[in-house]
Amino acid sequence: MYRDNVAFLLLISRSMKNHPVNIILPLVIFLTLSSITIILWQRYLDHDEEIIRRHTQAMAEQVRVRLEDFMEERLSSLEVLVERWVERRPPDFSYTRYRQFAETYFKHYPGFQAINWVDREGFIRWVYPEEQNYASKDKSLRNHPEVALRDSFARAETSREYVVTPCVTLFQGSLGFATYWPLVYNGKLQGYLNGVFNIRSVVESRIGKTLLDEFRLILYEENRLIYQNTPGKALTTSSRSVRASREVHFRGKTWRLELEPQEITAKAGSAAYLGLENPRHLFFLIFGLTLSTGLSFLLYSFMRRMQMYQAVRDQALHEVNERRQAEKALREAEEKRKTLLATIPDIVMQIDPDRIRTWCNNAGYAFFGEDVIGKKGDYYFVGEQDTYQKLQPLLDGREYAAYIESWQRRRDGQPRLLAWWCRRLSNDRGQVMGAICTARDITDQRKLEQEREALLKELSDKNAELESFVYTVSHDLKTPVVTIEGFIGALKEDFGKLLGPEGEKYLRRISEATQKMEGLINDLLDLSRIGRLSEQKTEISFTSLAKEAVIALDAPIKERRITVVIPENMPSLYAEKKRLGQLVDNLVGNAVKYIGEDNPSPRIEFGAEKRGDETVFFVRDNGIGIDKMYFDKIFKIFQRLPSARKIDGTGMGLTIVKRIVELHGGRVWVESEVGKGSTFYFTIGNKED
Amino acid sequence: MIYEPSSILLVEDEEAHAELTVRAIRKAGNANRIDTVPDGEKALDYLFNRGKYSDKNQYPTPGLVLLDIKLPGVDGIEVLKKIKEDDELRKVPVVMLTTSERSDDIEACYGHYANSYLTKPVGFMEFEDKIRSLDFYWMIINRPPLLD
Repeated sequence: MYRDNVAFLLLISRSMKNHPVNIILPLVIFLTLSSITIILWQRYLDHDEEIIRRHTQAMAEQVRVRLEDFMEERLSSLEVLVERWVERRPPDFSYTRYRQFAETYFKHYPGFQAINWVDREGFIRWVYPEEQNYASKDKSLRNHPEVALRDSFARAETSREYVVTPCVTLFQGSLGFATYWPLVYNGKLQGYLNGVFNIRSVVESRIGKTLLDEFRLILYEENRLIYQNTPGKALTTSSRSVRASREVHFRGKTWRLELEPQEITAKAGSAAYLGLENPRHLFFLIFGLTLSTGLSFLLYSFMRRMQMYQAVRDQALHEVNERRQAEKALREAEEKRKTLLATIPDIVMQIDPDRIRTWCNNAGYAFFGEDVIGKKGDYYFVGEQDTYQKLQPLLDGREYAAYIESWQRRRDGQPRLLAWWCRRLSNDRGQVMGAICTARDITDQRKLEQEREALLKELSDKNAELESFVYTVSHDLKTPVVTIEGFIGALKEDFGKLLGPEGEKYLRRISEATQKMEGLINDLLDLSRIGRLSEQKTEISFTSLAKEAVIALDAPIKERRITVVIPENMPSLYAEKKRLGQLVDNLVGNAVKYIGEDNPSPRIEFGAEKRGDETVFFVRDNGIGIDKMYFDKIFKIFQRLPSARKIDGTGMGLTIVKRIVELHGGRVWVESEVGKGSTFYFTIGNKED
Repeated sequence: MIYEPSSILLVEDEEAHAELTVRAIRKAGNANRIDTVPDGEKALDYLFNRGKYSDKNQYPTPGLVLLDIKLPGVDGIEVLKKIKEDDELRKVPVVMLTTSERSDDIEACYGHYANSYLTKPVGFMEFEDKIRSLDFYWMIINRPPLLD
């Protein structure tokens, strides 16, 4: 199991090499999700911003309304005061009355810096509350240091109408503005009611502290900064600012108010821009990014896994394919094997360890019959045999192969000798599963072999008998020859004088005949020896053999003035030296004998030439020649040519030559033409033979 | 002890050959006693002083045996074997004298300790020459063994 897993992992890792994990898709997914996260985060931020913006707008609107209401209320009250002042007939411009009004107003309408009465000449005569506005008492508005204030007053003087001043630094030092209300009675200017407002007081008495803490509030009057609740801090200029602007209108005055949340303005910068200061936003971003990373990683893992499975599937498919091919090859091989086994004429048999025949080919059925499978070997045995003993080492696993000859019954009941070649059959654990054997019916072959052996033995016996016979005959023939010769000699020696010339002639005839007989006997002995005796074969130079033969026949050669040609360095022969000498002697002897008595230029030539694989040696003469009809006959024993009658010879020379050549595995033949000469060729078997 | 020249035993079935051989020995000038027996049986009787040859004084151990191979009955090689198996007789030189040139025969003779092997030549002159040389060598040059 463990091994399977390891193999599986190995398999996958091998497959994965061929399928690198695609990292692009997860990367794209990661980037997309991250982008979406950031966009969402941005939108979330924007949304937050929008809320703030709207809130700011609403607040700005509230501030505007409050300021306008406040100012309208205060100015209306002053207007009422002016009307009330002049409603009495005659109008009462007494200080007491002023004081009464001012005190009441100041108390009921907070927000005033001061409520003053200005005389016709432009001097501030009465001031309320005095302790706060002491600085302005008895000051002349016509000589006010602020030009704008002086101009305004002049306008009120001229127009006898309500005039409001731009924001200026008041006598009291703070920033503010004044309203002038000319008091006209009976067409005559009586003086001015002067309402002075401190901007800070106006704003802070009407706008709640909470709002001012939350927002930055800035007021401009014709681009002049007239109020800001957080002095020293500029407004953000960023495009992302959530600032709200409003115009504040009241009786001849227009202000511009700018409102901005304190938080944003206070922490302007990249951190604010990214919203990082807000843990909620940061959490959203981190969560989004983590989610993207997680998803991408998940996707990556998923794809990896998919690829792994794909690789495994590919591998499996590949294996299935391979197996299919292997099965196909196996089927083909099986078919081939079946056909092959069917064509084999020998029996092919499988046996199990119990020697039961489990399978065989067609030849097996044909021999033993259709019911051979399941039978034990000894069912077919004929006679005593050691088949099982010979088979045992194979089944014991001691031997791989065995050769057994066994007589077994054929399906027709006939006992046949089978030659069994058996081989052990083992499974992959080395357990002996039985054996595969081929068997061949060698009955006929054995019979033939035996017959041949018997024939060979008979032949050899006959041959030996013959040779022994020839030898004995030669020997026995020699005995009387020795006797005859001996007594001829004795006769000559002891009674030579009594014989006379005629007697001596007869004795010579007897002696000649005896010698001829001796020659015959010697040749016969030679011939019989060729088969019986042999010596060690050696390398022999044909050149030296030829020379030796010529030296032996020196006398007749010289007498006949025969030219002898012996080339130097002729090839050598691997043969029995004595026999080869005999052979060459015989050939040269014949050449000399049959050179022709009236041959003008007798010549004998030795030679050797390569013909194909073999070397052909020859002895050539220009003698009397041989008729083609005798080419075969001359090699037979006791055969002599008609033309050779007059020439000495036993008729055995060429027979001896032929036997020697044949004993050396060679051939001898002649080419000749009557009157032109003969060439005797011979070959000697190779050294390896 | 009276010196008695050693005799020659010739074992030869062919009467004519025996005659020729004796003639040649005589002609060579050897006058010693030459006894001829025609077969192996008789040769052994003679040498072992059996039968009609039982009188050792009459048939003393010869100084040389000329032995043919081809003999009727017990053949030459068998005779040679018996001679060389005997402690006393083995001292006697045995010269094989035969028409056989078979190497088997030559081998067998020397294998049984024959002292020499001669073939009978066909020519009269050669025959006489050979016998003369044989006599000269074995009876004159060669120092024969001392026999009882």
